[in-house]
Amino acid sequence: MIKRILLLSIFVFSVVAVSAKIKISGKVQDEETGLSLAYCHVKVTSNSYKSYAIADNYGNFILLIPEEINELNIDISCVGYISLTQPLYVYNDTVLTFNLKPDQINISEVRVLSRKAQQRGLNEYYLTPKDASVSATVMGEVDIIKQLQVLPGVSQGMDGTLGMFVRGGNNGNNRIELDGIPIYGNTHLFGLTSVFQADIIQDITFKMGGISAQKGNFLSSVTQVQTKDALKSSGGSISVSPFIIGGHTQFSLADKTFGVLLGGRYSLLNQEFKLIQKSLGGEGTFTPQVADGLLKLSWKIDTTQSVNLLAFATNDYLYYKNESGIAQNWDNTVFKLEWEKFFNPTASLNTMAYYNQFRNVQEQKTYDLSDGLVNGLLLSSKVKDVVFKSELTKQYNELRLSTGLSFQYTEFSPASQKVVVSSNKTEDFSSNLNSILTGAYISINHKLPGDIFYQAGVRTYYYQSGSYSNVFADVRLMADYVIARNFGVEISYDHFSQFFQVLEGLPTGWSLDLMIPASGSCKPSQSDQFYSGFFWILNQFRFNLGGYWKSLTNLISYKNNVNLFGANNATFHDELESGKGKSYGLEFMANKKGNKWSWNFAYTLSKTTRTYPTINGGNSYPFKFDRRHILNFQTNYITVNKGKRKQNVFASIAFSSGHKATLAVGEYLGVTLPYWEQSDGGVFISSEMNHQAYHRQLMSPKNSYTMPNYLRFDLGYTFIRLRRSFEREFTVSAFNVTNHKNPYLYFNESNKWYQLTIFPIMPSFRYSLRF
Amino acid sequence: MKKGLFYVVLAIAGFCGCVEDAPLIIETTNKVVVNCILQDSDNQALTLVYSKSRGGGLYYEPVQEAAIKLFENDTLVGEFIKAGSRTWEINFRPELGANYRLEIVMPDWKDIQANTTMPPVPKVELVYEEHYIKRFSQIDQQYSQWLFVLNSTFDERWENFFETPQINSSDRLLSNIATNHPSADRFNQYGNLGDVIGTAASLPAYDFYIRLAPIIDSTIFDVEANYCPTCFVVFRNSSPEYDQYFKTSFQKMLIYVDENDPGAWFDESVVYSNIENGVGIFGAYTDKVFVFGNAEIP
Repeated sequence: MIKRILLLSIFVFSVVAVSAKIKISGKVQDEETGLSLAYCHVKVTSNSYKSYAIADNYGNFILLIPEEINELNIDISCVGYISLTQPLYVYNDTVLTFNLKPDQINISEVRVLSRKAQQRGLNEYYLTPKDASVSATVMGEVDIIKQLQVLPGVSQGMDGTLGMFVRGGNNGNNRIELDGIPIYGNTHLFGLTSVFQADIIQDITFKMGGISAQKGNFLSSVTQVQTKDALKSSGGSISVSPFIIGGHTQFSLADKTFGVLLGGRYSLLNQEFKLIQKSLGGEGTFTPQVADGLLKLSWKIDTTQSVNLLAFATNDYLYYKNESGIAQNWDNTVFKLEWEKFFNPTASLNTMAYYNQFRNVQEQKTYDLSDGLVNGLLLSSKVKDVVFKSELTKQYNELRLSTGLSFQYTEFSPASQKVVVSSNKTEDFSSNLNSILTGAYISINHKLPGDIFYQAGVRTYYYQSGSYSNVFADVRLMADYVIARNFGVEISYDHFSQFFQVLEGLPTGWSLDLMIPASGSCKPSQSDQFYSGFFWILNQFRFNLGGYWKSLTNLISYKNNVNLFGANNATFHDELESGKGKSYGLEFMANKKGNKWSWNFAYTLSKTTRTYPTINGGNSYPFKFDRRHILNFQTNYITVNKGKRKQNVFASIAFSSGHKATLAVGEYLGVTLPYWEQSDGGVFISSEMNHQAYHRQLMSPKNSYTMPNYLRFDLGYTFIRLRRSFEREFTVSAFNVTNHKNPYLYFNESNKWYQLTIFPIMPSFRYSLRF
Repeated sequence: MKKGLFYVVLAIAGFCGCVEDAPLIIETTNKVVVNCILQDSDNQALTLVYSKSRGGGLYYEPVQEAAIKLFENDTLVGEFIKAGSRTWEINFRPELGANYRLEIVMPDWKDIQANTTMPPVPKVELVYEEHYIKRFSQIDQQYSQWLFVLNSTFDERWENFFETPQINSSDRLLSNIATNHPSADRFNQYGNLGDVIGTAASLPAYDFYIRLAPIIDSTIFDVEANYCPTCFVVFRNSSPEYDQYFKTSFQKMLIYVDENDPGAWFDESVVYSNIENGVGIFGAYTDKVFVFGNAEIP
């Protein structure tokens, strides 16, 4: 249908063009997000003249009007957006940009429809906090990163956490950006919730294929978290959930010349723990401090240029003290300065510089009776990026060209160790490893007649770390073609490179993972991915089916599974092994976005393996989260929609094949360590430790055991009340509402098997006030 | 450290009480277990048994019939002879630096084989000593070394000035030793010796053994411990296979150091094995023992 309308539009253009002399061209976009709006109706009228056009897939339109008509009205309308009508005076060819405001009543449904119209294959998704608000989380917070786990091609790690494995990659192969800056420690509370406050997020784009050459230094996926623009809208919010309170405000000054976005969250865990301890008693003290904050200042210098300044910080500090003290701390610190310049409506330059630091610290202290420090061990890791990059974009009719340069200096301090060796002396062990990554890229997006779109790009890198240096190139190709009536095909090929390695611990989005630079002994990781699929868009429905094949090389893993909780010593290099991986699968997605009822169904059939020379005897083995079947269904139904009252119920089902495990299936005679039986008894040796001295566990082949299928139902209900100047929202939800026991692991004690379930039913609530 | 960390995780996630019985039945096929560590001596021993399922008691069924051949640089040097229910022996002294291959043929089993190398004697010399500190020098070191200390009581071994005392079963392996060796592997380092020997301690301490990774440059380093006047400091050059077996075995043991540590539930670590079509270890080591209170054993 749309294709016919487009053909009709072209026909109309042609007829009008015979006598036209003035060209009105432009673009229609979402006022809040700046994203292009496809298929909008653009109408110009005067007393004696009327013309009509439909914007293309990318929101672009062209109208040709007779030269003698200089005063007219232009009317822009788009489903789900408030129509815009304004007078127009034209004497020459004119280029215009129109920003449409989303319809407040059906904001989530309509927004998604508009964007989904652009989204074709299964490589790319757009999500808003509204989309994430209709799913239950463990912490009760709206978590837009958590929402990515329901998409095809994504395998979740530990239950309820943010561990995410995309098309066979590792968790550390995902690049998660906040306004263009990678955030390395992107989770709070060991992966229970992300560090991105939903209220300050405009939207996120998640890409796992067909990724422009503008993005580099990752292996699996890119998640672009975009904050709100205070120059475009003002408002604020306050929110409360069981563990976290938050608030944000955004406003502009001096006639929308200056914009301020300020947001932050703070965890109440410390106060709640003290309250519980006061009423129930208990030994030891637990001091959790969790917070994040963002400040974004925008300055619109004139109509052609603007400057943004961003500061973002997060902190997790968890201190437990009983007989000894244990502290875990990780934080991010980010500063960014960005300048954007439009030379004309078709050419722009974006330049930014940023400083990005991620640090994690594990500390153990032992005190004497007078609370004096007698023993201590501190293990810390730090990554510091200093980056400068610049991008030039130029639009030539239907072709968009982007080219850019980037320079990145990164300082790694992996597993610096400090030991208290006596009351007044410490022994330090640290190694600083630096790397320089320079990149240059060119990328083109081109729409050809016949509804064919292609994207091609190449990104080259020069990488240096210590004595190791080399040149690399990533090639990215993508094309889609609408064959007939919204039915089309998409194909893509991506070559990715990643120049730092993440030594992964628990699969939760663990923030205590160790990051090290690629080097001669630990070369940059590379991956090649092919994707091909079909898409079919039919009114409110959308169907996708696709398949991918991916190979990964120079992946790094611990040889032995003893560093799950983070590297426990500074000499971790001996523990590393370099290997490769392979993954392939089919992905299917169907969804409906209706006015009352919306649903989303996603299914993945995949297989992922790993091969390392000394692990599993050098034989390939299943990846830990090689889940053969992954199925997610989410639905949202508006039960009440009367004027200022709105209520909706939401539910989701998550089903997947169990992850893989290595089990101790037997025992064999061991060789005891030298003179073990003659120990002086200077330290306590548990009976199990002593047993392990004489016997060895016979482990099953690596990841050969498949855990039981994972099944979870979530349920929630939201009440929304619109007032004149604010909106109240109250959500009650339950994660794992049927309290289904999904075993994460089996362990054996005294020759008896037990299972550990991570999360039983987790009821929660969230109250928010938006103004 | 991981224990405390896990408690923090438990507190956050609130998943205490989510442990329950698992209806798990695992069928296991037993494997042939071969353990043979070549030493710089005239007699070498090997154990040959079958593995057992979990809960199968402490008894390992011995292999009754097998042909076990030892090759040195691809030349047959002899066969192991059964010397006990599960022990087999060969009278043979390995040559330092030579490669060895073990081949085992058993009825109805796939042929088993493994390879290793006999390391040379550690190149370590004593530089200085006082009560808590022994200082050593070391030149280039191609093989990983394990360092440990045994305290001895003054008995008849130490009264004989004409014979160098040998380590026996009355000597005690020290559970706390410390070093500043630059290539010390810190996987079992835990803090300081202060609690054991007071303020005299000034180096990071380790549990029982210290693994020294290979080095290129010469170095001088201290070994601190609560030495007795009569004691032994042992440097053990290990073949790569024995070194990995030693380390992964000890890492596995340390996971279970505290019976109340839920971190052990997550244990999927695998002890190194180089036995093809079986499990166990075929490795080699050479010791250099420093004797304090008498003379040095060369």
